[in-house]
Amino acid sequence: MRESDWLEALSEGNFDWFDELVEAYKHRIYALAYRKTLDASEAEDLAQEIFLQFYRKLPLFRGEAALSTWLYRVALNCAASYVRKRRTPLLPGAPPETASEGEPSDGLLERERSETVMSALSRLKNKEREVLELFYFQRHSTAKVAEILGISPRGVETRLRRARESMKRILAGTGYFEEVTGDARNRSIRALV
Amino acid sequence: MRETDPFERLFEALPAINAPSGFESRLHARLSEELAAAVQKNVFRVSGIVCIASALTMFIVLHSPLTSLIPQALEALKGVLP
Repeated sequence: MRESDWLEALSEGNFDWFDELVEAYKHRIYALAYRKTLDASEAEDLAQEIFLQFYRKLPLFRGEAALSTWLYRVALNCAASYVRKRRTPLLPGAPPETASEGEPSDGLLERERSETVMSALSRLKNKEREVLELFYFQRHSTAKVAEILGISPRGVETRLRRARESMKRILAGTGYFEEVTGDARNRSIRALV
Repeated sequence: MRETDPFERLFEALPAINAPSGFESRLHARLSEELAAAVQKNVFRVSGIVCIASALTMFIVLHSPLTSLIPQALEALKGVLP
C-alpha cells in the first residue's frame, strides 16, 4: 500500500493503514529523534510522540500536501517543542541500535565519529539543523525540503549553505571535517581498510 | 551535485540508526491508552452535559410563572370540587 492508497483510506475514515506508515517511517523518524535528543531512550519517547501527534492531527489533514510532508512537519514541530520543554542541556546519552557490522574496533571508531558529528549538529541553530536533517539524513530533494519547511527552494539553498559553513567551523577545531572529506581522510581510510 | 558534496561523505560515514525492537508494540500500547482515555473523557463530557441540562430544566420549571400558578389552580379546584 502506498501513499495514494493511504489517502484514499483516510478519506473513507479508515485509519488501518497507520501501522503501515509507522513501519515505513519508524527508522527515519527514530533517527531524526535521536539526532535531536542524543539519547536512545528519549529518542524513542520523542519518535512515539511524533507518531501519536500525527495520528491525533489526521482528522485535520486536508490533503494540501503529501502525507509524508505532513509527517515531517509534525516531526520537526514535535522535536523543537520537546527540546524547548527540556530543562537540562543536551548531552550524549545512551547510544541507539545501529546497523554496523564488523570488528569491535570499527564500532568504536564509528561511535567516536558519530559522537563528534552529533555533537557538532547539536551546536547548530535549529533552522540549520532542520535543513541538514531533511536534506542529508532524510535524503529529500531541495524542492521537498522547501515544501516541508514552507520556504522557497532558494531559501533552502541559503540555509544549507549557512548550515554547512557552521558545521565546517565547528568541526574545524577537531580536524575531523578535513579528515573525512579531504584527500588525507581518503588515504587514512584506505590504510584502515 | 550530491556525489561531489563533501558533506555527503561526512554524513554517510556515520552508522545507520534504527528504531529499537518492539517500537511498534510500545507505540500501539500508548495509542490504545490514549484512545481509551479519549473515550472516557467523552463519556464524562456527555454525563456532564446531561447533568447541566437536567439542572437547568428543573430551575426553569421551578421558576416559571406557570409553576407559580399551580397552587392557585389547586385552590380553585378545591373550591369547585364537592
